[in-house]
Order: sequence, then structure tokens, then C-alpha cells
Amino acid sequence: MRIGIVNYGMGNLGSVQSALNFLNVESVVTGTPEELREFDGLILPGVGSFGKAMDNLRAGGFVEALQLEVIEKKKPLFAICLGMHLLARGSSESDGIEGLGWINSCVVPVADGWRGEHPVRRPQVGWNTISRLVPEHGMLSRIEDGEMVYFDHSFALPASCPDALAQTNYFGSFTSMLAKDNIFGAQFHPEKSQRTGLVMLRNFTNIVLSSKSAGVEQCC
Amino acid sequence: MLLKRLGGSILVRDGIAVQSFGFRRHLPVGSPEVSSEFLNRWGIDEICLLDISGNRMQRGPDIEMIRRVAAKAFVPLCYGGGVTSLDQVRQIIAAGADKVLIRSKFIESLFHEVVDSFGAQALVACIDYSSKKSDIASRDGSIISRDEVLDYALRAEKFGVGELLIQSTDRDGLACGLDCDLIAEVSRRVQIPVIAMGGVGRSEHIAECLNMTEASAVVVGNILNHCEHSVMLIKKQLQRMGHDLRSSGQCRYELVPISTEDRLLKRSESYLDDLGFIKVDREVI
Repeated sequence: MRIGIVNYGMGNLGSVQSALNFLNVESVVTGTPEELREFDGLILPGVGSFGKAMDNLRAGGFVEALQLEVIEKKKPLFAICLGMHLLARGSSESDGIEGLGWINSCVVPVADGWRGEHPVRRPQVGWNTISRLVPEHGMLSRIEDGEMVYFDHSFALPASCPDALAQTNYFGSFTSMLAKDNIFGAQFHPEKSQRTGLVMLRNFTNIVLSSKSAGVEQCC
Repeated sequence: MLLKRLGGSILVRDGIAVQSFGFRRHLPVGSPEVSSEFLNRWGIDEICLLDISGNRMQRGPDIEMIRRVAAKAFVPLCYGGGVTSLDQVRQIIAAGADKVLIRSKFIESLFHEVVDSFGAQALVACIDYSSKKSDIASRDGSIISRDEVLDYALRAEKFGVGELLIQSTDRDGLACGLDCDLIAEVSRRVQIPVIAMGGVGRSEHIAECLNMTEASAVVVGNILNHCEHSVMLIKKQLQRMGHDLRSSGQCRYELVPISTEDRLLKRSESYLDDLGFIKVDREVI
């Protein structure tokens, strides 16, 4: 099994790769869209702003390549932080810029609905809990409610987002994990969330493994 | 609920992790990657890797060292020291760090470039300040006076940085407690997370700061060294004082006596006598 880490100039690639190294999973950081077909699963990391990330994805020719591998060939994709935002239709961080549109929702500022007396500190930086909405999902195997993961973001998908897998509360609920068929997303940084995050990455690579063997059976 | 964070600093001078006293004297601890491995294992919430080598501005960040430290850290890693260009920031983040720290002498254009390319969350502005005139004069602008801190903080927020670290250099290594008055004022006035550093000698000092201020994180350094399980002991003590931080793994230290210096006290002879060794299988992730 080989995992491709998509490098479109916006990621904390080193930390994602060192987490996969820890799990003894072979991974390659790739900056060429044509290479994506060589991998069994893909990780779309990302830190930075939505608009710039989409510009980079488009300019690098990744949009078509991801469409082919993830939507048509059904390769498992794990999108992290800003990477998860890119799955949406758009973001209020960069008005007028279209996302990949695979998830029917739009990214909004975190704690958008907060009307309390004190203004909310943004970005949300630090450890917060997740509440599972679909506890039996493979991505949440060996994960309990209330486990802590590391967040660092100003924007998020709203709680109303379809395909939500887990939610988190920061002056109001938002979607902290999502799953739609072979597409998975996390608002937090699993590669920086110690045991809990490493277990999630392992769950993802297990899903990649099983989808790979299912693919082989189909061929035969 | 978002929890307050306990950060651990690893100060590196000429490739060796050190303890620092008053920004002047340093004691060697060992290799930075071993510090990182242990802090990670003991459940620190965040690691600040700060290069304080004399020649860091000339030679730039030690990317290989950052890579070695990052490989052991499955918690957020913030790097500071000798960062002057966007290209260096790119290399630091590619090496596995999540944030870069840029110090007092604000380079406005660099701030904008970093925020534009990597997002606000990747940039921490560091304000080192002192109440001593001699300190300020001797460091050509990198240490500012205590009166200027709030101005700098507000400016940094306006530049769009993600977080603000304020460090008192005259408290560094003195173990006398944090400058809570100033931290309270700054954290009240800015809407970005504030990280407090400089002067923590025991867990009570952290509790004092969490009680008196809206700081989002406290970073400690010297007290983490030369003590087994230091992070877990500090967090346990803080929990006993009513501050629930993220628990550090499975170990709870529920019944263990801990001294005010955050050290484990010796158990009774009869307890030790009864103590056998139980095999605990390592979890395979």
C-alpha cells in the first residue's frame, strides 16, 4: 500500500509524512497530478487560505486529477483541515471562489452563530473534544466520544453539513469530521493529535487496504 | 470545550538543548530530539523549539535539527530562531513544524507574506520584553520595554498573526512566577490567543496565570527537565487546583502524593513492599 500526500504548495507535509512513517505506512509527497494514479489512497493536507489553495490546486492541474482518482475511480481520500474545506462548494473566507463541490455545504467562520457578550477568540487553537455522530463508522474505530484532538483554524463547515461524522463545540457546534463514500475529512490535525490522531490515520490506511483488496477481487 | 494548553519549550544552543537563566547563562540538557520524544510521550500539548545559538541570524534555521525534532513530535511544533525570509518559513514547515515564531523586531512584509502563504495559524509573533533598561539596550531592539508590550501586541494582531507569545526576559529562569498583570491586560485587549512564557518554577505559577488572565496557553521550560514524567505531574497538580488540562495518556496519578515542587513523594514502606510489577502490553496503533 502506498499513500500519496498531495503537495500543492500549501501543506504541512512533513508532519503528515512523519505520522505515516510512525505507522510504518509507505507515503510519497507528490507535486505532479499524473502521479496520483500510482497511489492506493490520497491525503490532501492544507494550511493557509481557501482562495489561494484552490488557485494552487487549479494551477497545478490537481482538480481534474483528483476528480478522476477520487470520484471516478473511488480511491480513498483523507482531507485534513483546509483540505477538508476544499471539498465544499465554497468558503466565506474567499468569496466567489468555487471549491471542489463534493460536499454540499459552504465553509463559514468558526463560532459564526455566537451572540454572546464576549467576542470569540479566533483562530481556535488547541485541544478540543469530538462527539461522534456515526460511532460505528470505520474512521472512528477505537475512538471514543470526548477524545481530544488538536485544532488550529478560523473557518469550519457548519454543523448542518451533510455527511458529518463528528462534531465539535467552540461557541457553537461545527462539523469536525465528515465521510461520504470514499471521501473523508477532518477539521483538526490527526498528525498532531497524539494517540487519537494516529489511530484515525491507521483507520484510514485500513480503509485504503480493504478498498485495495476489493479492487483486486473485482479485477479477477 | 477548548482547553487551555501547557506548552513545553526546547531551547537549543549550538545544537544542544539547554536550560536558560536570565537569557544569559545556559545549562546543557541533552539532544533536542530526545527532549521532543519525551515531552511527546508525557503528553505535552505543544512544543516550542527555540534556537538561541549566537550565530542563528547569520546561518538561518537549522532545518535538519527541526526535521529530527519534528519526527518525534506528534503534537503541534512551533519553531523560532533566525527566521527572516518566506523561503525559510517554507523549509521549516516542510521539515515538519506547524508554526513559525518571529520575534519582536516586526518585519511587517514578512508577516503579510507568511499569513498569505500559510495562513494566520502558522504565524506566532513573539514579544520579548524586560523591565531592565540594561537588557533592552544590549539587545539592539530584539527586547522591548514592558511599557511597549501592549502596543506591539495590538500591532501584531492588526498584521493578522495567529497567536501572540509574550515572554518576560528578566523572569527567565528565575522560577518566580509569570508576569500575570501584563498577561491579563494584553489577553483582555487582543482577540487572538495569547501564550505566556517566562518565570514558571512550579505548577502553582501556571494555575495563578490561568486564574488571573485569559491566556490560552502557558509555556514552561526549565521545570520539565531533570524530572521523570514532569508533564504528567504538572498536569495532575493543576487538576488538583481545578484546572483540567488534556490528560496525558492513561496514567492518572490518582493516589500519588506530589510535593509543591511537582516531584513524586516517596510512598510508604508497606506500600512499596506490596508493590509487584504488572505487565502492561503496549498498545499497537
